[in-house]
Amino acid sequence: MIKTAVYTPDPQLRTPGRLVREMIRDLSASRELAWRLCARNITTQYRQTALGYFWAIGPPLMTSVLFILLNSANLLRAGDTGVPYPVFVIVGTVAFGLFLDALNMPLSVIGAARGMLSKINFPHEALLLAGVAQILVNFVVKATLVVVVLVTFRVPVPPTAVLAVIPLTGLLVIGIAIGVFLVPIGALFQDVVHALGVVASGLVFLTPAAYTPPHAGLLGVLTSWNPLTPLIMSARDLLLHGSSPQISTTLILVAASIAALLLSWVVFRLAMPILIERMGN
Amino acid sequence: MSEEVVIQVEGVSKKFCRSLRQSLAYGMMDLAREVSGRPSQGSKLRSDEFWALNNVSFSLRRGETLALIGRNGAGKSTMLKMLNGVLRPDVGRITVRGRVQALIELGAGFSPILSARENVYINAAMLGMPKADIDRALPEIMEFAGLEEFLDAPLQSFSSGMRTRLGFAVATQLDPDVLLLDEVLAVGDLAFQEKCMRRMDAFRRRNKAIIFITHNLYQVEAMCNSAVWLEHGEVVAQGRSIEVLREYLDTQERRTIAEAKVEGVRHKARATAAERAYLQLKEDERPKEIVEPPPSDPLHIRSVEILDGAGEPCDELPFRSDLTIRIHYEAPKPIIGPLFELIFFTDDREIFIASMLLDGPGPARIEDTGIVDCRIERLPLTPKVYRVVLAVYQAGYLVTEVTTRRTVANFRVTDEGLDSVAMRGPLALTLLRQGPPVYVPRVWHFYDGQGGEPLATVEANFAD
Repeated sequence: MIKTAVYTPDPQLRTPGRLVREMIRDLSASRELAWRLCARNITTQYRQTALGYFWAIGPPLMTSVLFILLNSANLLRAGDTGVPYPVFVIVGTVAFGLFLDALNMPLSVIGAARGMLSKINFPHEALLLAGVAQILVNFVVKATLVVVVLVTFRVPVPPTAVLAVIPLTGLLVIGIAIGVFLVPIGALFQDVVHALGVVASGLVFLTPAAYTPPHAGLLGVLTSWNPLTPLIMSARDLLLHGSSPQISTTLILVAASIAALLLSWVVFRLAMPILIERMGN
Repeated sequence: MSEEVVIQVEGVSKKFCRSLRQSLAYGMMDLAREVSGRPSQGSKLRSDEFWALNNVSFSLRRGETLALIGRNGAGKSTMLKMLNGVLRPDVGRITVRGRVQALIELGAGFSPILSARENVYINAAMLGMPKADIDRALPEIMEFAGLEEFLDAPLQSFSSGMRTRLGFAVATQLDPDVLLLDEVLAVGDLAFQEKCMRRMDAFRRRNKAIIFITHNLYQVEAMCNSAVWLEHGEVVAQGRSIEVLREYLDTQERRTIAEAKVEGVRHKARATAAERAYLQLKEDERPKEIVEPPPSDPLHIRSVEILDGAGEPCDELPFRSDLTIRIHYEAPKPIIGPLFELIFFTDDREIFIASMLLDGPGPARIEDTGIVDCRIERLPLTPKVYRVVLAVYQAGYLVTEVTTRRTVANFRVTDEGLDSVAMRGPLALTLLRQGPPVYVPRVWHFYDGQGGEPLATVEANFAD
């Protein structure tokens, strides 16, 4: 059968069946390219550096060190952390970093691929898949930091710690979903990129990555409404204690974030042809 | 759509926006519309928008090669991007059967710090080639690009020509059903260009279709069956490449003549319909005749006419026709031993002169008003635009000029009625119209070395 492509100005939502078929087709067609792009990104990311993978560990390490200093000077009341504070904060910031990387990824990969997008027709999902793969690779590097800290402080890890994968997946998926939702506006208006930087630097304080959530005050309200709170907390609890009181909330959030991701993918499909035309190279 | 048609473009339009901010705002509106599934308002222009392509239709069959020609900004690259699915039409419909490969910009997506090998893998994957195929094709790609020994060198050490070669080698390795090329053949050295053309030819022979953008009209004539000429996003002409080329060249030449007149060359001839359209003149308006010789000249040239074989004023005449240049002069005081000289130019190259400095003197003196005709039979000039400069001398102990030397006429030789006699070769049209200006009839004979009758005879002569 000869492949036939038809290009018309009709909205893609008019033919939902075709839209879904094309989404599945492109996703499967983009696997190989995604691997290539991921391999390229990882090599180019570190080929021109002297310290290489240290730069994956750098940001969470820096944040953690700052919190440890604040805490040791009694400037921060972290609450009852249950484990040595450095362990608590490093696990928290690494988990939070996963969300942050996922949030920034879609806009940054689309921005970096401007030149290709306006000249080559390829499945754009490959850019996102490669981005996810790269986040995971960087996460594995960061996880070694966690292992080092756990060993140093002789914190035992229960066998059910593997369940931490569930809330971590939630953090990753919710980050990507929000990031993909921002692509249509962010690819046109650089404001979104700037705003993301501002939000990210504030969000780390509004998420209980480095402290246990307070029950009172404005911060208490904000952290209780922050959907990242149960995910971060349960990831940490599962890893360090093997169980979490928030496991059901976590499961609901993971399911909701997967639904959000699918929806954001549809928006992404609808938006890309318009964006490519407008964002130039 | 029949099996044979691989590309069908039906009434396709595309609009762009002149202002960046406005364009972004329109982008948001289009997004909202798309997400809500409302039908597009593509057929209406909003403020600051213009048609980059307007109502373009054509089709392409297997084994055919189509050229997109036109000036920069005519919409050629936009068309290619739509055929490749990178841009979506605002109006109309494009149907593409089979795998399409576009070389819009060679080596898009190449990373300078990766090696050639790594870049080939990424580029090929981006163009949809599975890894196993790339493994197999890699040696051939590097060989075709002539870069075998640079396989592991980082791309930043490559010249732009080397990168282009690599890009072309990868893209043509994919064996698509339709190949889209954007001025690819304009880059690279001659040897590589030839290689590219050979590869395109092999491609065509395997019954694949090619669309390419070029400014090289020789390539259009030699390689394309059909052509589409775009101007300001609209199709000016389309059809058999030779006919489109002819119309394209005709229009260019008419423009040259019209522009020459605007520049103020004193030249009496009726403006043709095409010129009037180009100059946006009303029916009875004529280009201004500006150039006035200084009043101190002893001889005044009042007007110069180009007359065709029948003695009618014209500014176009068929190939090999008789030409008369008629000069109306006025000499307030007698000029002793006047010698007229006409110098013929094309593209600022001097081609020949018709000079009484060579031919010999005319009347002993001229006075008041009069006419000088210079008649040339079967003008041996190829179809092109020519410019005539007039100089007039006075013979004496010293030869002195008696009028200000200047361009007095522009005319155009057309290729009307030529195809049947002298246009049998593969580059006949472009060579005749873009090649050297002088045409000399000739006959070719082929012998087998044993003597005797010629094996073949090629006659480029005219029944006249």
